[in-house]
Amino acid sequence: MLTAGHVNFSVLGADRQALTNCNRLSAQLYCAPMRFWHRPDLPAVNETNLRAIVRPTSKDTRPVNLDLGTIQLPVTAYASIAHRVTGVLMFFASFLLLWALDRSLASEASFDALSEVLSSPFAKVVMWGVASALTYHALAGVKHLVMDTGVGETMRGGVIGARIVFSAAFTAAILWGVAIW
Amino acid sequence: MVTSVTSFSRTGLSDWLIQRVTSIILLAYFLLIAYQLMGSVDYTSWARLFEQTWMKVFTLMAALSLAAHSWIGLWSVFTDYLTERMLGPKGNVIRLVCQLGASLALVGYVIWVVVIIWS
Repeated sequence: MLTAGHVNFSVLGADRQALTNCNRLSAQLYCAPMRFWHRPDLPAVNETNLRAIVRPTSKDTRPVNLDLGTIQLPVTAYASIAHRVTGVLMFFASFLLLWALDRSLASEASFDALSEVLSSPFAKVVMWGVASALTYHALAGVKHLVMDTGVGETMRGGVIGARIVFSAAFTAAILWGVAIW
Repeated sequence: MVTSVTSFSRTGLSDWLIQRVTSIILLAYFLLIAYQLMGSVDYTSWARLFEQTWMKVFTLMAALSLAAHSWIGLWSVFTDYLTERMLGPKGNVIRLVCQLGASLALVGYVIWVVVIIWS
């Protein structure tokens, strides 16, 4: 029996280490939903699944597992995360693109100066990174548009779509490298 | 639903549609730019391209699309990760500061494009 605030609850099948883990968090714990109590084959509580069955105080009593590091993600999840990461990257890269547009159109002298700057090895790496990130983001965006039409909405379709996007973006990154160097 | 007051159009359905429309405009614009940059590009032809009215309008449309698209995208990211559950009690303050910063930057981007194109 553990005490969390004014609520008492028991953890079935818990070993001594698990109880210690529970106690460490007990100040913030509250009762897990009833359905967990009545499961006949309740798994032993450990550091990993403890977070799945009990969580810090909230009005919401649904169990959640917030520790992404303990979850094995499908390829669709990596496609989604990469879409977000490249999107945030493009927000910052837009500054560089606008700067380049500004320099390229200000005058012929600034256009030549920009060409000079962009021919440096560091600038080429940045250009390759921005072009590759933008290409991935665009391809993943097109995948979204395709899925909006109802094509590839199943788990299997999503996995295939994510693999196509990753392969195409990888190929594009190589082609950008060839074009830049 | 409290967080939706900082979303782009106040409703998810409308944000969803704007995200799609702006993505197509941006895709078309970047394909055009990539096509122009293929091979060697010189100042005269580059400047002449941006002197034409349709290109100025297209560039402005792309800039406005970038602002709306980024706003919606960053809002989705911020409201998922910059929260009290992820960051503790200061989560909401951090999120609002980031949203304010991003919004100002995007307005700045649009103004910058207008200055580049029409000056």
